[in-house]
Amino acid sequence: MSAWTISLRVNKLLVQLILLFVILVLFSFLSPYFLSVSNFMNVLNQMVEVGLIAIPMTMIIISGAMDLSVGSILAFSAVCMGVAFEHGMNIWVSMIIGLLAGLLCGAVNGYLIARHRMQAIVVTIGMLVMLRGLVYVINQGRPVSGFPDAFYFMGQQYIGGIPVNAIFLVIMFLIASFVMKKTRFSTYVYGIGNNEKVVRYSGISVVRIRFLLFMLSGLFSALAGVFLVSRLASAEATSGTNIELDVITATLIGGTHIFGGRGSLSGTFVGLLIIVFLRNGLNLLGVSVLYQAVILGALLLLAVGNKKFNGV
Amino acid sequence: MTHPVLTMEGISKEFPGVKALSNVGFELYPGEVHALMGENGAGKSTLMKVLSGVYSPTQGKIRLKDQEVTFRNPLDAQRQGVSIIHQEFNLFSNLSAAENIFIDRPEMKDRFGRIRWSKMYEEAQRLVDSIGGGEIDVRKEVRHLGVHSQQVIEIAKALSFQADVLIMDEPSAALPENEVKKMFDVVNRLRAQGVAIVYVSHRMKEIFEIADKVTVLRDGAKIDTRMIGEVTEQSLIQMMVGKAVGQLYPVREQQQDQEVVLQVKELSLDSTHRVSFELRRGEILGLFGVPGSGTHTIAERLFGLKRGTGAISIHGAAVKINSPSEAKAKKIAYVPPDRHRQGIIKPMSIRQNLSIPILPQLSKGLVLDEARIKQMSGEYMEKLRIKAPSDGQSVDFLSGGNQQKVVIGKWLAAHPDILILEEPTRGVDVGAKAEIYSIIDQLAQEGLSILLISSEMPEVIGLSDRILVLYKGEIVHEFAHGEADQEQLLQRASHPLIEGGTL
Repeated sequence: MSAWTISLRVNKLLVQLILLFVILVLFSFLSPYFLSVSNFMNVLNQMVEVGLIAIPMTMIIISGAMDLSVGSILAFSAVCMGVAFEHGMNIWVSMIIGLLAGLLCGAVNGYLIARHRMQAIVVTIGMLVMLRGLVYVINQGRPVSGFPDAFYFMGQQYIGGIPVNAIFLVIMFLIASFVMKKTRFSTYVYGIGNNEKVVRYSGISVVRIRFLLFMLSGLFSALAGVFLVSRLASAEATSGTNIELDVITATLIGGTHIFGGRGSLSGTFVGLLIIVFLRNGLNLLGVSVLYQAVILGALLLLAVGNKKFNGV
Repeated sequence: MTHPVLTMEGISKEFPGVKALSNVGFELYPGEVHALMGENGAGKSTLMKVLSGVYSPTQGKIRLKDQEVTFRNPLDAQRQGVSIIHQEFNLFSNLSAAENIFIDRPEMKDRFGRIRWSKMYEEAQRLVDSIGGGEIDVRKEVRHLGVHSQQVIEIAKALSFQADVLIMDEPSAALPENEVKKMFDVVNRLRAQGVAIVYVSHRMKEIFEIADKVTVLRDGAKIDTRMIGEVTEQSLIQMMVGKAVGQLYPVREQQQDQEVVLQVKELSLDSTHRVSFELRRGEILGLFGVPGSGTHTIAERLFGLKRGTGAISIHGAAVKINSPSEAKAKKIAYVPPDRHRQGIIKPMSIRQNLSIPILPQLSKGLVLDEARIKQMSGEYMEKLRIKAPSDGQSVDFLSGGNQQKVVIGKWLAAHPDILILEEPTRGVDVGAKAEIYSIIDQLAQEGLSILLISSEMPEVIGLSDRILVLYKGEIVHEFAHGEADQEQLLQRASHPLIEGGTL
């Protein structure tokens, strides 16, 4: 039994890939529409928002914290961008305003969590509720649309048959993976997740690293907001509701440890593919959204529970 | 002597891949204090766990009062008369002393299941009194009691099970220096009552003060059992290490350098107390005081972990230190007292732990320069004689001594001017201790200025060029090189106002 669990642990990524493969094969047999280029591209196109946010979320969870406010930041940025555009600003300027709005939210999170050592979960729940309310206040819940065609390039166009936003996501994942493997930032993040005190006692500003992480999370949530608006051609107050649950599920299925210290972006990427293809397959089979939630939740319990039973 | 109360015969304990104990025999007589010694990893704690019912032995027999016994679990062992008191106490801090002693005991309940409080308090007080803890109020919540009192409660709890055998694991580790005497009084009373005591400790001085016999383990086997009068500190160390160790403390050459590296003036430790001192180039300055005297706070202030007032100047230039990163920039390094929580990141490799303070210097731009990191870690593993198959090994699997060397190494790699060492050899076996001492000495000779804070008096005396004694936030005495002995040092640290050693 021990040999089995050890090999299972070593090849964690392999196990996830096998799971992904099983899902792909299974749905290919179950649904005639599943295994087609257009469907796959469609799935890739739709996973971008969750995927973008999963990048900083993985880093934050590795550092032993959590950001639950990402969905609200997404909506806040999207609506800020929409309102700026409505007030006659250039679309690209509006976009930058949206990104800055997200960065600002991340900075507030970071300031409270890093500088004042408040609990990340508490702070980000506060932001989640507050920002969602603010989003409705700003625009009375009215969606904003009618953006110029050039802006839709980001979310609706294809290059060489591949969605532009998916290409962007993959590039972001590659850059982030490099950062989390080859730079000192990664040592600090993993170090903080394992033993924050030692990092501080090594003369490294933990406050700065934590602050940076939440800024990144704000920025990427805003980016996700921009891509969502571009894809759906509409900035809505309900955007990104509950997206944090998908993001965290993908991260955890991807093998990142909820208490920090362990995890990887490649794992998160595979976790992401697992949940989007599972969703897509179930959609094609006509399974109701409610049952999808049940299945996804069960998968998460299995993925995390499996670790617990193996004593990891 | 009389009949042994406890005999262990041919005890072996195997774990997958490891033989932790092989064929160990052990006899314990009533009314004796039997010290158990050995380096970390020698098998002491495994043997104690077998004896207290945590592990069952792979082979061998335990006989208690001439009857062969097996202990299914620690509670079972306790009921049969073998109790253990761990280094970290197992008390419920929010319950009273009496409740802790008699927790979950049917005899303290009436037939309706109600607790008989008056009987419980009475019994508890009687037990506590019997071991000289008369001043303890057993109705008080444990968190309001001092460390020594808590230990008395633990012992009373063991006695409430009619303990014939009491195992004390590093009983003095948690106690401030001035309460060790009180603990010895308790042990002496227990001895007089005929309880057999197994005393596990690293501290030589205590062994000679309290033990009747000593058994030494090494590599899972028993080396010998001797009467305490038959051994010396040196011969015990030899038995533990398996070879003759040279002098534990290096012979320090009196440093002549007068260049002041660190000058501290009116450094605040709390709202009312301030200290001033100087540290010279290549000097080892010992700071000694009982817990709470302020030695630890000095380290925290100098390393930017705590803020306050006062002037610090390094090489004559006034500096402000408000965080560890600022301290590091000013070339101050700090080896903290608790390596598990403050010194090493356990799941990470030796290489990562060694390099973490100086990653900016080991990077090309933002990217880590793996080749240089490898070279650096190889260099410091060799310099500090860190024993591990490779620098990729996780520090979790290293012995305490090697872990401590990693903590020292990671700061040496930062090339500090001032090194603050706090408890540099806590929980480190004697072989590694000697190595660490010689490293410290060599560093000072190379010109590093060292502030040595330790609760181990021999260490402070053996290494320091000068010793400052602190008492309640003030420097009360300075010993020049070779001036201090343990008695004087302890006396200055605990009763600084009494001159000349007479009470």
